Amino acid sequence: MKIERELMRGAGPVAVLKMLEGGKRYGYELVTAVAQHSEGILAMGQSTLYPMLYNLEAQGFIRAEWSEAKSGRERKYYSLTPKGKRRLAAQTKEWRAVAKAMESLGILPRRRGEATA
Amino acid sequence: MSGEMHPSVLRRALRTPLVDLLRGRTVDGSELATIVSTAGLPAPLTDLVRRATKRTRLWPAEQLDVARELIAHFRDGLDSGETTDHLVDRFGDPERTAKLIRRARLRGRPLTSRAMRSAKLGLVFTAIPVLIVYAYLFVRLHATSPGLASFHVPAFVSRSNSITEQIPDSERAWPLYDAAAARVLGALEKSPGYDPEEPASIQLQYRPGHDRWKHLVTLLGTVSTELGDVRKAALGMRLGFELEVNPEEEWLWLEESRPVEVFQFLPHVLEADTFRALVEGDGKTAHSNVATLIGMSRHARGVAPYFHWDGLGFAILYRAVDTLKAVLAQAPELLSSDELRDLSHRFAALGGREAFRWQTEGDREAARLWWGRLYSGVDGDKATITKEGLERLRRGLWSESPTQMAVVDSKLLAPALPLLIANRRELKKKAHSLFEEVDTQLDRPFWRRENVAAFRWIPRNTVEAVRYLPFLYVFPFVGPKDDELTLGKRDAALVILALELYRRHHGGWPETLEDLTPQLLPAVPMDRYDGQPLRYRVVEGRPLLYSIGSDGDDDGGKPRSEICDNDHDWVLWRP
Repeated sequence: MKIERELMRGAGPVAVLKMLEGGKRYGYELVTAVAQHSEGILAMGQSTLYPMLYNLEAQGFIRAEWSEAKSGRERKYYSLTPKGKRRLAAQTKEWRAVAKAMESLGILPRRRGEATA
Repeated sequence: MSGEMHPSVLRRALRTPLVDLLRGRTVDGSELATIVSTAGLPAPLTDLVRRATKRTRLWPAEQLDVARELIAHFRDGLDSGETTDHLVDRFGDPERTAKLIRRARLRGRPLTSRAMRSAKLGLVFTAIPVLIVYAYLFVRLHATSPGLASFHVPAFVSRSNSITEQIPDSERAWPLYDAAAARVLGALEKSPGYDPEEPASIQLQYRPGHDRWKHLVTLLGTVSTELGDVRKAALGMRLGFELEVNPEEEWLWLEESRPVEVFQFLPHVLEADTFRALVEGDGKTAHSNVATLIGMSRHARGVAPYFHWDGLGFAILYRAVDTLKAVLAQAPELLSSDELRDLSHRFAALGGREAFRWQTEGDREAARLWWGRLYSGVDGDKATITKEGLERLRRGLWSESPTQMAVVDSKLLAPALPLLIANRRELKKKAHSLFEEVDTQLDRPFWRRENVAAFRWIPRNTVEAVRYLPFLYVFPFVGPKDDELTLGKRDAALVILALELYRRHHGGWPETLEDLTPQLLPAVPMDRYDGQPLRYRVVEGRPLLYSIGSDGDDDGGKPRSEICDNDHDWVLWRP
């Protein structure tokens, strides 16, 4: 399933930030992780990923550094900055609110344990 | 080849962005090519990395960073078992990717870099409209030509010439002046002791006692006929000078024409001849020469109604008075009483204050004609200065203002000058107000004239100096005082002549100037500096006639000293 570009533009960065919450990752790893965790819904190519990473870096949400992997291969690793962590927390809240609104609208199924109105 | 493969440190430094240099890192284009070609990626992926990276148009160090990351990405993809085709397919459009990467990386650049980039973009976007406007102005400047397509004869020229036409040739003074001046100059140049290195007018100013006086006396003896013609012309004829304004001439002013030479040269001859008469006791000739100078001053002013000709006429009158004073001082009895009375009548006949007023008609007309040669369109519209007009300004400009010189000389600025220099309507309006100011000031007595600058246009600031550049040729460089001071000088001559006549009749000087009225003087003339009667008293048995002078204080007739100070009076007569 391919989602709308505008929707991807909103969801992509927060997905990347979320993937970095657990620790530093490199580009290919991020693409794979996002695709796996989103069941392919948020799968993205380099044309989306790298501009997004550079934007997040420019905004100070992530930082990048080159380092050598155990295999001896040089990779550029990205990690969350404190500012990025705050951003992730804020965006998580927003997305939850959106999801809740979607549930209320019947677009998303209600989650178990939540009282119906 | 090795030079290309391993560029010098300097070359690398020159190609490296400042930010990277500050980080102690240098890069160059060949490094990128090496990394991509030695990455060991399949050809389609190598090509993809190269294209996407190059098209980001980022700094070399940034491109290198992007390329390394993409290479690492593809290697990881291949290691994970993805096919080359799949990776190429997932990559997307390299051009769009490059564009997005560029945009993102630019955002990440340091503030100074972004500021410089914004400044560069701003400069480009500002330069484009400026260039368009400049091109338009350039075309417009080259497309316009002066509006005065057909030359017209100024009104005062027609008027003056119609009067001249009615004067028979035999009654015209000008041909006599012209011919006499030419012959006297010719004789002077052939006379013994003539120095070709020295101006002729200077060689006519030797006086008795000087080594070369005898040569001058000899010369004067050979030109008695010519001097007779000059006297005849000045004493009994009308000027009869036909004004010619040649449309082909660069300037429409008449200053450089033959009458200037003649009216500057002949008074020197007459003055010298008066000193000869003085030495020889020839009162008749001395009287005649002073009278001739008076007549000639009137003729000079009559050439054309310009400030310039007034100035020349006033200068001749000054010399008439000074010559008379020299005669009376050195030989009080040389002139007969009848001759003194005759000179008094001649001085008086020059008229009152109104007759001495500066004439401006010619200057106004010349301004109009001049601007017609500079500006496009017709008189009174919003015409702008033309290319030809700028060239005319450039050819003749001499200004004390370096700004004015630089502006007119600048060819680059030329297309913009029609915007910087006032259009014709504005110029005309400004000129009108300046001439009105001149008239207002001239209407006032000299001691109440406030704005002497009105007589000569002086820009108040650099903008005005450029805006009204064409004024440089219009407002004459004349002294604002000269009309009133010449009148004062003439009035002094009347008093001096009356004093001399009184002395002869009463055997001594009068106690006051009122003693001269009304028999010898209709009224005591006023001091031009304060409107009070001229100052007079007898000191040590000799008369002292003076004006309080420019400082406005009565210093008791103290003459101007060698030391430059304002604390003195204008001494008019102290035989």
